[in-house]
Amino acid sequence: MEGVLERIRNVSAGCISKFQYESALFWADKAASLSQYEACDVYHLAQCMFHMKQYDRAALLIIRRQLHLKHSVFRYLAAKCYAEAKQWQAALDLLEGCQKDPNISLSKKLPSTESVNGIPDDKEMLTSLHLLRGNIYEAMEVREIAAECYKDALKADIFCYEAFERLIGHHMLRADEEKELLESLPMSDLCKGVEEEELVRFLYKTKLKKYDKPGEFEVPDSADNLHENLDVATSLAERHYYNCEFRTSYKITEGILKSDPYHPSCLPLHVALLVELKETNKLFYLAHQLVGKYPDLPISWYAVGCYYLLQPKKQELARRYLLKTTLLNRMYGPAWLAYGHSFASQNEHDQAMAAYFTASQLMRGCHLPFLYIGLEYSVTNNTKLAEKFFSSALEISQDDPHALHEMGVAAYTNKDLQSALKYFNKALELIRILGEEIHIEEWGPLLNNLGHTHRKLKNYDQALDYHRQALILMPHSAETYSAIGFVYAYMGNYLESIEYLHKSLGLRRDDAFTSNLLDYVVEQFADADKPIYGDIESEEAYPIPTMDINFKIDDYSTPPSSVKPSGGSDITPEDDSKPFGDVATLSTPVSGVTTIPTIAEGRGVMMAWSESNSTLSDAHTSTSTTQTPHTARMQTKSFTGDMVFSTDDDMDLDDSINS
Amino acid sequence: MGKIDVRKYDKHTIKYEIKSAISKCSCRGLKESTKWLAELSFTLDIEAVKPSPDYTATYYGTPDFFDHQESSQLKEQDFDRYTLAKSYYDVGEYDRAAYMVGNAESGPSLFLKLYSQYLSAIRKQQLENLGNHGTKERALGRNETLRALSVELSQMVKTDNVDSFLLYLYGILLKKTSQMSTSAQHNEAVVVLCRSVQLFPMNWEAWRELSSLVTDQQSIFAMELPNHWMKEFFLAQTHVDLINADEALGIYDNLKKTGFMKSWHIKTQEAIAHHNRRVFDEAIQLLEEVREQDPYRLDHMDILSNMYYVKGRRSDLAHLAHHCTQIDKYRVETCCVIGNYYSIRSNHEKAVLYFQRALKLNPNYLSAWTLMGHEYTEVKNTSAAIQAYRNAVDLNQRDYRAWYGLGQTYELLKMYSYALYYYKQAHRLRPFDSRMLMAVGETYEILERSEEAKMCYRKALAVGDIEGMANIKLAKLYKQESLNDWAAHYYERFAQQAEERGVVEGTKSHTEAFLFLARHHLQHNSYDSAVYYGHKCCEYPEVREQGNAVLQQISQMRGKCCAADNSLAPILRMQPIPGHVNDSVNTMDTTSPAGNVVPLKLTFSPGQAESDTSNIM
Repeated sequence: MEGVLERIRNVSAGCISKFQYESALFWADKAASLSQYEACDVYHLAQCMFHMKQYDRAALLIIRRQLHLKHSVFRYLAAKCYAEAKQWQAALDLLEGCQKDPNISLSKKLPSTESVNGIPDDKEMLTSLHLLRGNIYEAMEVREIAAECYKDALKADIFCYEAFERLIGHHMLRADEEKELLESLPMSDLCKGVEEEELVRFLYKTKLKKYDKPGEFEVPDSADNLHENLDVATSLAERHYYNCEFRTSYKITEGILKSDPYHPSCLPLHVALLVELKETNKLFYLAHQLVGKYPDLPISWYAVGCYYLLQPKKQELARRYLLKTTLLNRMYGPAWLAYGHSFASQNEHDQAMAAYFTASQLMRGCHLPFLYIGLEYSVTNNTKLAEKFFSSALEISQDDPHALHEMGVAAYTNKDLQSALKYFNKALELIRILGEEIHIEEWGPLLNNLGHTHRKLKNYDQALDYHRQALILMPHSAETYSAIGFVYAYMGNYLESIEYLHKSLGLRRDDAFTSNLLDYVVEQFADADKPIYGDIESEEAYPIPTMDINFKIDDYSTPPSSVKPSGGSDITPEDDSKPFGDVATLSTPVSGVTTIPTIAEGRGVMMAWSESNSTLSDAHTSTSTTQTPHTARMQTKSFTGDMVFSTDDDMDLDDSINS
Repeated sequence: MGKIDVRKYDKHTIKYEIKSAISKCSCRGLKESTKWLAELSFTLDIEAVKPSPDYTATYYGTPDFFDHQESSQLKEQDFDRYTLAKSYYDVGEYDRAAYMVGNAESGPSLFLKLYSQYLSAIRKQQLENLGNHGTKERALGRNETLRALSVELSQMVKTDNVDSFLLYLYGILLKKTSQMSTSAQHNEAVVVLCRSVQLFPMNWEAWRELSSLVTDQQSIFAMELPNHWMKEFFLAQTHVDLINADEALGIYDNLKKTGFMKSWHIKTQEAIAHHNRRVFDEAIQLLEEVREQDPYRLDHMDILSNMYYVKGRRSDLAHLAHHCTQIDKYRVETCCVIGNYYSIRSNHEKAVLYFQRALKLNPNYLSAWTLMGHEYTEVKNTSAAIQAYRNAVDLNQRDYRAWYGLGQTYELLKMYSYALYYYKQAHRLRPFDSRMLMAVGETYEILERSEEAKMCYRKALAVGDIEGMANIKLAKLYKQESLNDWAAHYYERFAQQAEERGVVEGTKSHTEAFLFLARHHLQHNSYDSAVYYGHKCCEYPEVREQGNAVLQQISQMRGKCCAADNSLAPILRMQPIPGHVNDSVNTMDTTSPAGNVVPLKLTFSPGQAESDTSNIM
């Protein structure tokens, strides 16, 4: 009899390793019956049921026999089953059921310490228990506790990458907390040897928040071959991404996807890059492939949503697919951000903010949602609130140049020029650390804003300098040309001023501010520019008329009336020496704000968001805990400036995606 | 400027250098350089001698520069790859060529790859914006491919991993993508191109680009250029562009002595220089010589057509137009020639059409923009004219014709402060051209700033008044201010000048001058002069009455003072009135500001009258 039992057990085990779960289940069941439900057989049986996705059955099997009170393995398994069945509360009750004191370590609560053959003992299960608890709490949206659980799991076993990934990938920690965590991990105790420690530390470090770090990236000597590891390469690509070096990053991700077309952590980055580079055609193809192969993964639908996000006229569709992404996985932060961008691009500010708020709850350690909320507020001219959100973004990530820049803009609009200057300079400093030279177009607005601030502080030379630098980053920018013309006008260099204003108007013909300024400057030029035609054959001593160069104020505050070239009717002379006294302040909304939002994006107004939001949360209280790690920050600066509609309509995904 | 004595160069070694450079440039697909060098080589018909190692070391870095062949550096496999890519390049499939070259690290392959990418991006941009030539569409700075290319090159330059050709490519990228919006960029482009020609002085395109970056004579001295004989060509070219005809002609003379007597390049450049000096006959002759030897040439034929236009040689122009159409209808030069042809026939709509076609073919073709501006002004389409002129100015800040055209157009729109600005720009470019000064002065006059206006007019007199209007303008201004002595002074000079130049008298200005002078002299009791001018007045019907009145007054006065000698008056009075007065009225009146709608084809005409007569015909 014993022999038969042993034989059947072996058959069952063999079937599991051969992925024949149904057979395994059948034989395990028989084995369990034969042995009168010995612990190890029950464990096997439950395992098979779990594999067959018969979660409730497995849980009942264990609970009926009260095994979960004896062995933590069973407890874990039962809880896991409930969790898989999305019965979070039941799972949690199982894990913490008997005693309500969560401070007592899970292992101590179990009375039995006897070890049974064929079952992992309690100690081994500790990490898993922590992890599961974390998963459950996260699913129940109790993120603080979840984070604690993950941390415990990680401390119990530093090789528990899943817990680490949850913490980092789901943005549960702030940048400084992340660093702290890495420091606090008992590396040396759990690793066998310095090299191993070094390796683990390196691998984890590559995963930390990257967007406020200089591009240093060194693989330890011991792990030289890791250069080619795709995860490591992805981290490198991400670094480039956050430094706005999209092309470089794109080259890397393209290489990664060539060797592994569905590399999970690379895909979101790749999608973000395609959006950034406006490669609609490639994104279209990729999205198709993904949806065809993995219709269940959020990333597939996320890619589709992003594709439509690039089509200014297809925002409706973009939202639909992004919503679908969030249905598949409610925790998918990037989708919420993109969802917000889609509203923002159509000036639906309130809805955009609602989406960003959701994202901010999902990604506690990520400053981007706050940044975007702040932007929405600042676009709706609510600078006070905007500033608040910017500063909370800054709290999360102290050294993010984008956040600093936005703070600067807020200060600028509040006429606090000194602090604006401080913020801008700090942002610039940080960018300079990232790369020895700034050659990324994204930073043009920052330089322009520095120029604006210096102009207002009357440091005209510096203002010019910054505008020129901006011009190098963004050649042919009408705003920059106008700004330079404006500065020159202040400096009394009308000739140059006229030239730049002309250039600006050549690019953007209907800009009222520029054309008004030009009219004004041309008149000034005609008045002020003395003909110095030197050696006139002067037969008579000519009293060269001394022109008193009175600066005049042109009233730019009034909505630009029709262009009046030579009429001087609306010009009133001003006697003191500060030229354009009012003009400066009045014009700033034009010159300042138009450039400023470009670093982030456009945005707009409202609707009954709360309703749709609540329905959403009702519908998907479930969260799959096994999602692929995604980087939420991907979407960051994606939707800068105007989107180019370049793909033809026949590229629509409609006809092919009909689920 | 530390002139190099060109004669110290041996033409035999020059020939060798050219031949070697031709193969270098052609294997990199530098078509223009190859064409230029080949033309030069063709006209330099002598035996080639390899230059001494010293010479080579000075100008090419290493003494054995000419010894190793570039193609032999490539491995067999790579060479096949390169050949394939080059053949794709030659048929204009640039993307394909760039892909085929693969991961070349250096040499012709790398250059071919990057250059193909560059050309492809340019072509795509142009095709995308076919027919829309705004500044925005021409702005290459926003082109992603070009930006990526220039970033890639800038990194190579930083690591100093570049040869002369890559530097050239980087230079033009800098130039094109930034449009020189800041002086830093300008300087960087200049430095890069200078380095390019230092490393390899035979790339004519690099010199050409460098020359287009020179804004004034001073900046030439600031450049670090190799003292190679190619520098002479560069200097001459630059002087031609800067409209320093004399310097340019001097250098070309020198070069001809070195042995480039027959060079077509030199001849055409000399023609352009003469054209800029408005010595048209010589220029036409030179270009016709070139045409004789190279009858199917289209380069610079548009300049020839401009000169035919100015000279009013309608049949020549027609012949040239038909000939060019036969060669290639779709060349910018051809389109410009045809445009001029229609313009001389006063078919301005058609002319505009052809200039537009030229611009479709090459939106950066400067003279087409300017000429189109003129045509639009003819048909009074001011906004289109402004657009065209502005485009011309964007392309080349030194194009004073376009600045002047802008001034005229704004004047037409009665936007005088704008007009003043543009005229001043034109004046800055041509400080010794009285026409600009007159325009500035007239605008000041309209703005009621007569002091400045007077200054301008007097300066115009000083630099040699081409139109002959400065005196009368001054006189009128003084008359308005009742400074009659001064007015008389200038009226007299005006009359004098008119006589000297043989201008047909009898316009309003003349009659006015005569009448004023007659009255003025009468007042001052200088009867002889008064009588003289009084008689002059009587020659013209408009003022005959007044003239008679003056003369009568004089005879009365004289009769009072002393024995009147009035035998003279009747005789003078009987002098026949010139019959062609009316023609000349038309001619001269166009210079008055209000009627100034006919665009001055400034370069082409020695004076106002000429361009007008050509239009009348």
